[in-house]
Parts: sequence; C-alpha cells; structure tokens
Amino acid sequence: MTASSFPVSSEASNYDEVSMQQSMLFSDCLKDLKNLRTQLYSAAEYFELSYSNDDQKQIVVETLQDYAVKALVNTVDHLGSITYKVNDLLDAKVDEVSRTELRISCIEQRLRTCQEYMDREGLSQQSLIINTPKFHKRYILPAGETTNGPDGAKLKYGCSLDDEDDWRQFKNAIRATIRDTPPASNNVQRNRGRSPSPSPRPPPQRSGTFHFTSTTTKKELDKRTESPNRFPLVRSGSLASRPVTPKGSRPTTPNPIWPSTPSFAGPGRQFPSEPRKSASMRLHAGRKNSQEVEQQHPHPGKGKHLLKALLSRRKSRKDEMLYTYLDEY
Amino acid sequence: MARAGGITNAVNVGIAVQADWENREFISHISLNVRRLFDFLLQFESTTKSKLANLNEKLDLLERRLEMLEVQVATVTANPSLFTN
Repeated sequence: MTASSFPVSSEASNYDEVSMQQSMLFSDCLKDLKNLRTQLYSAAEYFELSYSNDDQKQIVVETLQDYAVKALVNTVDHLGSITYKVNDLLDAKVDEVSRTELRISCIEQRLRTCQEYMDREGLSQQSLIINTPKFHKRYILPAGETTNGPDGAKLKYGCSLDDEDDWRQFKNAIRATIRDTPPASNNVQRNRGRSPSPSPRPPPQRSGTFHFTSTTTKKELDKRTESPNRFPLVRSGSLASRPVTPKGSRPTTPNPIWPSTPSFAGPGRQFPSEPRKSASMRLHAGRKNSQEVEQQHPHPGKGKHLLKALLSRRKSRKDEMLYTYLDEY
Repeated sequence: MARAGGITNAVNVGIAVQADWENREFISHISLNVRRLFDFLLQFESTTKSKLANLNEKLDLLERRLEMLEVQVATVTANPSLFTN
C-alpha cells in the first residue's frame, strides 16, 4: 500500500467504524425501547398485584407513581435519541444522494459535450465544404510568369524554352537591326543573305523613308552617320550590305540586273571616294538604279561589269562597317 | 360519641378525596405527557416518511440516470470506432 493511499484507507476505515458505532448505538436504543415496553408492562402487572394483595396500598401507589414518571422520562429520552439519530441518518443519506446527483450531472454534461463534439466532427466530415488555402494577392503570380530566384534559378510558372528562344531571336533581330556583326550568326547571315538580293517589291515603309532621306541634305546625312545612336547609322550597317554582296558568303546568285547599266556604275564609283556617305542615300540611289536597270534591261547579260562593281562596293562596305563598329563602341 | 365518630369519618373521606384528586392529577399529567410523546412520534413518523419518500424519489431518478449513462457508455464501448476517427 502506498503512502498516498494510506490516509484515504484510514479515513475510510474511520468512516466505517464511526458508521458502525452509530448503527450499533441506534440498534441498542431500539432494543432499549422494545425492552422498555415489556418492562412497563411487567411493572404495571407487578404494581397491580401488589396493590391488590398488599395492605400498605399508599406506599405501592407512591412507588408506582415514581416508576411511571421515571419510565416516561426514560422513554422520552430513548425516543428523542432515536429520532435524532434517524434524522441524522436521513440527512446524511439525502446529502449523499445530492452529491451523487451532482456527480451524475457532471458525467452527463461531459457526455453531452463529447456528443456535441462528435456531432460537430461528424458534420465537418460529412459536409463537402473544402477549405481552400487563402493567400494574399501579392504572393499569387498569374500563370505563365517567371520569376528569377535569388540564386539565379528560375522559379517556373509556366515558363518554357520556347520563350527563351523567342527572346533570343528577338534580341538577335534587334542586334541585327542595330549593327552588323562581322562574325555573324545564322540569323544575321540569313538577313545578310536576304538583304543583298534586291527584292523587286520593297516594303512601302522603306520606300517612304527613302523618299524622306532623299530630300535631306548631304550634311545632315553625314551627321547622322557619325552619331552612333541614330537610325541612319543603323541603316548604314544593315543597308550597306544590301548593294554589295560578298563573293564567298553569298549563298544566292547575284542579280544580273545590277552591273549592266552605266548609271549604276556611277554610284558604285562614288563609294570609295565617299566612304562615310549615308547608307539610306546610297541605298536609295542603288535601289533606284536597280529599278531603272530592271526597267531598261530586263534581261541580264554583262557580268563582268557587275562583278567589278560589286567588288569595289564590297571594299567600301567593309571600311564603312569598321567605322560604324568603332563608332558604336 | 356518635357525633365524634361522624366527624372523623368525614375527615377521612375528605383526605381520601384529596388523595384521589392528587392521583387523578398525576395520572392526567402522565397521560398528557404520553400524548405529547405520541404526537411527537406521529410527527417524527410523518417527517421521516416524507424525507424517506424524497430520498426514494431522488434515488429512483439517480438510478434511471445511471442506467441511461450505463447504456450510453455501453454503446460507446461497443463502437470504439467513434472515438478513433
């Protein structure tokens, strides 16, 4: 038996002993009451006989009176003690019942709480409401956006390699329009390969710019070519390659329309003397000459002049490219 | 002589009557106290009966509630899956 349980058991034993003593006293009182009745009956019989047989009746009466008083007082005492004990016992039982009722109420309340919890859990399990996680708007990225992480890694939200390719192509196209790189990539080579071939149908915008540039003076054109951030410089790079086609790198055959006209040879000879002339002017002139050549000589036949003119223009174009490249950087 | 004998008899009768009245008074006192005791016992019986009836009612109620709790606990212990979920 542990030390903690010992006082409880001693209290319980004391409680049992006290209750046993009380019950013993109660039973003794009840027995005394029962005996008192028999004693009273026997005393009454004794006094009746003695009163009838004895001569000294007065003494018997007085003795009987004293006995009756004492018997009555004794009976009242007995009844008083028994009634008190009965009342005490009843009150104790009522208190015990009240405590038991309180404990049962507590157990019922616990059970009700458990039942309510079970009902609530059952409802939450049975209900089809899905609690979606809620985020703030600033933490939500729309689909298809990419964010660069702190270590340079890409946090992917629908990003694909096609976007990178597109972006690279776009950058290359911009570079190709801004400057003409000497060791050109495939795109630039493609552009360069396309550009020298004089298309019979030039775009209307370019024709518009050509008209505009044709109205400008020569000084203005020279100024524009010197400034690296102007459009004429850009065009000078891209358009300088148009009239001149390199011998080896040109994939397509040169248009045989170009060299046959004497008017075309005029501007072709102009390039070495004026290496820094505006490309738009030259292009306009070349394009104009080519159109004239096309109109005048629809069938090409004289390739030697054309080849010489192209070679001379190629040299001039290389010099121009070097100058523009140095101007840019 | 006869006249003196008559007076003594009257005195004896008077003493006997007085004694009888005293005895009657005593008996009336005793009977009165016994009746009071009887009334007390009747009152005690009634109060004890009412208390016992109240206690019996409470015990019946407690017995029913305990039976209800026993049934609920038995139901819960018979279906332990209700608490495991």
